[in-house]
Amino acid sequence: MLSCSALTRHYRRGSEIVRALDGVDLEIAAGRLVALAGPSGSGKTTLMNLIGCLDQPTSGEIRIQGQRVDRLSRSKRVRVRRRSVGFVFQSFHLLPELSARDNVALPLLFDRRRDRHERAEALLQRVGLGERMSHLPSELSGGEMQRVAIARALANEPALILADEPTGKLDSKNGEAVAALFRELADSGVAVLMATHDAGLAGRADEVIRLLDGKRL
Amino acid sequence: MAFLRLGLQSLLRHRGRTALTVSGVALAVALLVSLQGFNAGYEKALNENVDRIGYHVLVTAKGCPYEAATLMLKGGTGLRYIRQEIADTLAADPRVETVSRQLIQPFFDVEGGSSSFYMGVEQGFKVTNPSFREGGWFSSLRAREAILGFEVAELEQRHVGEEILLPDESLPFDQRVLKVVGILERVGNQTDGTVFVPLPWLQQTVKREGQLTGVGIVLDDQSVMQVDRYESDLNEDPALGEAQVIGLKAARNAIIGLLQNARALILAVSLVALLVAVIGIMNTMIMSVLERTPQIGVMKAVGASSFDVFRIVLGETVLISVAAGGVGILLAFVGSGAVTAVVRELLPFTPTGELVSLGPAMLAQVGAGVVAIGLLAGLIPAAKASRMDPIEAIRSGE
Repeated sequence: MLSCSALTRHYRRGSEIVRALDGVDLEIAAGRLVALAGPSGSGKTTLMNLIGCLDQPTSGEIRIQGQRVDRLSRSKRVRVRRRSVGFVFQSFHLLPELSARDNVALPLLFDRRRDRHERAEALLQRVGLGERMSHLPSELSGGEMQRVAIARALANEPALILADEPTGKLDSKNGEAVAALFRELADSGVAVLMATHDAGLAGRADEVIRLLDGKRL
Repeated sequence: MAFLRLGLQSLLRHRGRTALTVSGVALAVALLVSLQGFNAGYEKALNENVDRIGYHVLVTAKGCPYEAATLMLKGGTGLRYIRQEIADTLAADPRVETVSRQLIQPFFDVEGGSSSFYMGVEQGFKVTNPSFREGGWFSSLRAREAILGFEVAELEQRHVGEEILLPDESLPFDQRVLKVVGILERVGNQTDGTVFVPLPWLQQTVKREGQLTGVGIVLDDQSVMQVDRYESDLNEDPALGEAQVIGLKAARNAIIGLLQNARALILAVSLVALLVAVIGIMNTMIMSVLERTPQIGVMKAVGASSFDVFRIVLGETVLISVAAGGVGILLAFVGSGAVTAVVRELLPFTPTGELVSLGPAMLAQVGAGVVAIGLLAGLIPAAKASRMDPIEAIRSGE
């Protein structure tokens, strides 16, 4: 489902060249839950950004569902983000003025889907928040906000979910709940790649990929 | 529509800031609409006042054209006089249908601190088609009788058959008493505030025999071309001597001319106010975009294109502009009475009637203009938001 080969990302910081990623290979099949582990600065977020088409590699290849995405134009990368990839962030990043339902419907709005509200409601039911659809993020707990974020990531039925430290701001109980949700998603056929320091979360993964200083160990 | 709704929800999240921005623009819009309404209304009211006078041309003593115009339209102080023989000469012209000989005399009530205008008239005055609410014309042009304008009758609380006192204490009392023989209907111009007395009686009373302040002329042929030609001929007629000819057009233009500079200045001020308000919108939106940098990054991450982000931000400025335009127009409507009162207080001459005219075409123009300005104000913030790098934007919120 996802394959990266010799993926490299360098950028200039003043006179220095920073090698955020240095020749990383990986493959993830559909229905797999993969943890990406490594200390801060190891390149986890950089790798997620490249796979998610938020950034472009200096060299190397990325294929999602067989389509090469590393050299796409900006508009085509937007389309990949809309249709093929879903993001879950550590800080949830819900829009504070929108209800849970409207937050989940946001990717569908950008994809011009007319059934966005019905789909959003169904997704919120799926993540156990059917009773909280009209609530604003300020009225939700941390765990609930992250579940809304997961539902948002699923809005456009992506083949791949990218989660960057999804339990980083949750207590252990909510972290467990989110971990269970990711397991359930993977079991339903979605490929999930999650960057994490959380050993418990990594323990649920089918595979752990370790990075250090931009290289795969 | 959904994008606009997204923008609206964002604006409502910061109600105070949104309200302040809308208020600023609304005040500028109200100022602009009031000015435009005043421009339209003043001319319209002036035209109506002039049309109601009944004369085509006024001949008065030479001097300041503004004073002459005021004399024509409002009954000025009448400090300059012309010989009555001029009226006879004018009446002999075959083009003239009627002449109306007039002598305006102000009287100052020292005790009451007010002034009143008396106008000596004769048969020619009937060309203005005075409509009587009570009573009728004088029994004789030598009689000590008065016809009251509508507002004078209201103020003095007089009816036909009662008496009114000429406010000139230098005269013997019995010569000051006038019998009210007629009260006019409301006309909506200076006639309402005037006391009309027989011309010969007034000339004798104030010792201005053989003198007039003006002669109103009505022509047979009322076409614009004939009136202009007659006016031109009169201006070149040496027999007029110390008199000047004021056509309706010239009177109207003289009054409008007084206002031109003031209007230009007020227009400049209101445009500056609008510019400042637009800058206010731009500032508010730039602040809003900077505050929402992480959110904009997330929107791009979940599939918003640069154009989607541009639309959302631009939509917010349109919403602010539309709201401000609506509130501003409402303020202009509500405040039009106050504007009229202030203008009447400040200007030396104001026509009677509504001075602020807020027609649908003008309001539509202002509304469209406000939206256009809002779009312009939103371009920079929208462009800034659309160009944000999603990674940097999201990182700024971590």
